[in-house]
Amino acid sequence: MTPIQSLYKDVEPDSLTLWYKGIFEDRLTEDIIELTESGSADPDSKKSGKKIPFLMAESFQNIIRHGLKDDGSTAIEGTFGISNRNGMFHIYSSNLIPNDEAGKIESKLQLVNNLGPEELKAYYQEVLSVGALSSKGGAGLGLIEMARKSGRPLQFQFSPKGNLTEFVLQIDHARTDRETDLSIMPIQQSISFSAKLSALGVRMFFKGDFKTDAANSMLSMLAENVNLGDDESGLNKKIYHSGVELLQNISRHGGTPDGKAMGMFILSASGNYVTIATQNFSNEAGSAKLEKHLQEINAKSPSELNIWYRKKLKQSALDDSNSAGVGLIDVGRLTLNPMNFATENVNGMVLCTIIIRIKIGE
Amino acid sequence: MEALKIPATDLTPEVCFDPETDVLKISGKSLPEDARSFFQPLQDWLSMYAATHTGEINLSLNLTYFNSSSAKQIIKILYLLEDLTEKGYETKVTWMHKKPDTMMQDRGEELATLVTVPFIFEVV
Repeated sequence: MTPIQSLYKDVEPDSLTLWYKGIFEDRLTEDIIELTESGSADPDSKKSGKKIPFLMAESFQNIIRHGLKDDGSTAIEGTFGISNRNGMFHIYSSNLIPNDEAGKIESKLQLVNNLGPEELKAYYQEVLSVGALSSKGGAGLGLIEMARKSGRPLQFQFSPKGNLTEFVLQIDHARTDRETDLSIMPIQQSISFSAKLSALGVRMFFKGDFKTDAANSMLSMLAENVNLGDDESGLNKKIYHSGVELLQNISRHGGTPDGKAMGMFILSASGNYVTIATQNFSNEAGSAKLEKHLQEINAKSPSELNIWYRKKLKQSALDDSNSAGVGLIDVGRLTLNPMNFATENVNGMVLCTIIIRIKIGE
Repeated sequence: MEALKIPATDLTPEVCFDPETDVLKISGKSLPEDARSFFQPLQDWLSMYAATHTGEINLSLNLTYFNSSSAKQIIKILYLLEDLTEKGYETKVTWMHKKPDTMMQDRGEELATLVTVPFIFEVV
């Protein structure tokens, strides 16, 4: 089992898992919130109303307000993660801050964690009326609001990283206020999963229901992540196109008996390669058909693939179905041979993994 | 006959089919999962336009990206133009792409090899 395949085990109980590592921009916030709302396989997740989007937005603001790049420049880099594990949402953020900020933020966190709901409300009003803005533009209101809305202590960790400090924050919130007995994932567990993703160079990780809306939000995130501007080498478009075809392959072919299209999409960059991995559930027949198709693609030379793609595309115009049936052949034309395929039996279904690689440097 | 004008969305291109000016243009990116639903009205419109039109039919494609489902629908439109050529119409496709966009240039050149309709390449 490859390390990417094994990530499934870490998120197996989750009806939604989403991680992003990279540059933070406003559009991304919107995409991630949309994806969380549409992509959850948990029918009860909407019961939290606007609280989850609110907490996510606060978490993003926290990264944008305090984040710094390794070299101290202004582009904001960080990590954001959200999961819904058995009804409990965990919202994770990690970013680098100057060392002298760490102490100030830590005292504020300790303060809000020691206050009860009424005290938090009073403190919120007090800070609001005094309006004591910090030099970073926050009045501490964000942290107070996070604590008020989550209804639980905020989990945090500060650790030295070079000449800066890494600030990790986790907000935990049950999907309904009545569910008070749900277990909370310790921040250490999230930190170790985040480190695993970093070691693999993961930039985007999504596990959830790939029904159309979720797939569309992923496509939008992918376009943000892959710079599609002036792209003389055509590399970024190759990455984007491979991602689009693999994502749509999941929403088209992935299926579980409950009518959902549970799957995973992982985009990573490490060394000279970009790797895209997808996982989805299928039955024995579907998985065998996919495996045979990929074997046929892998057995062909680039020129044979071109001939096959063109012939099949022309033929496809003669039928009325929606799919051209050339998506994976096209991905085979753009990526390194072979496209890897693996299967595993999980709860009576076949979990199919496709891993493709694109060379991005020498 | 009425013009067919569809604004672009995150997943579908802008369409401007205007019988007054004879401008037939599709621009932007096309990656809907159900490309057939999007392109079918375009194919129907073009058939109706050809039925009453005399003179050259020039389809301008200024696409920045298209997925494989859209590729199938684009080929269908190109076949429609090919049929019209066989019926005596003069047809051509103007394929527009940005200079550095090598992938869209390659995709246009590839489509041009699949049909007999002449392609003119224009850097925009």
